[in-house]
Amino acid sequence: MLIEAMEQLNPTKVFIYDQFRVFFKHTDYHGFVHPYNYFEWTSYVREAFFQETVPNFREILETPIKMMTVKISSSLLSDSNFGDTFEARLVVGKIKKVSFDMIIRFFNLRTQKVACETIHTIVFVDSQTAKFADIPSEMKTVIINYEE
Amino acid sequence: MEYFSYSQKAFVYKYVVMLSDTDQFKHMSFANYLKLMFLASDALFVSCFDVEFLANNRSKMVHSRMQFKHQTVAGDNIIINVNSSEINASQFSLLFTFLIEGSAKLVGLGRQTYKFVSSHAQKPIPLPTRIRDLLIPIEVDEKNLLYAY
Repeated sequence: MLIEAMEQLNPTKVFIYDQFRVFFKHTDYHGFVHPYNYFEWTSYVREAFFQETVPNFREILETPIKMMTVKISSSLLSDSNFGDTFEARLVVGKIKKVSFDMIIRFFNLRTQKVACETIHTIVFVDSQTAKFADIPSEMKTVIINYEE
Repeated sequence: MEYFSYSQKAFVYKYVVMLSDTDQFKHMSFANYLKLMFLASDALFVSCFDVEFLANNRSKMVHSRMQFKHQTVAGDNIIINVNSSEINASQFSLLFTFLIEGSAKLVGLGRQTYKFVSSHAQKPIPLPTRIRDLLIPIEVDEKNLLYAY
């Protein structure tokens, strides 16, 4: 009862990006989506997320604080084919002082299955001092709403 | 005290970072390193991939991960050493060590796990012999390696 009440007070937001359709160039020799595409689409989803949710994201990009991907993993969970469309569902995890994880699940709208899950860790670095930097406050304010 | 020398064989793939690989931050964007893993694993297996083989067998990636240690810029020569590990009846892993040629600076560490399935039924099948023959000479025990992939 208490948990349900807390979830209603603070539900995790999910950022959804639904602009993915499988074209021939995304398929492999056997007619399935090549796993590389999920990595490329992962970069599109995260950038769409920041552009749509962080009002001054372009200005942040002009500062010495740079965002770097330090690790990424992907799990292929089901096959997809030409013509399929995906809804990429993004949530955030492990928010720390200088880093956080972005978890993206590619949901195939035809098969109604998650085709792939990618998790990548982003760290912030001050390019002038070459030291780790805090997550910019404008971004942190946003990502905490999406923490899973 | 016992001393031993250990010579590690690896499949080597080389790539020169092109301007078109880099983004507005002047570095190669992270998805391109993942693309290089697929290029290197394709290069390893290309001698097996004739039409008849592909008509019956499909390599299917199950899991992949990569850690990034150092960024690269256009003109860098990247050497990718590929080793195999955890070869069993139906699946195996490939380990990728990305280095800058010359300085030997570590760029990244990658790992992919594959299984083979039949092209028709998409059901797991034993590792084809010719694939196993390519993997055995470059097999390593991950417990003995300098890096954790």
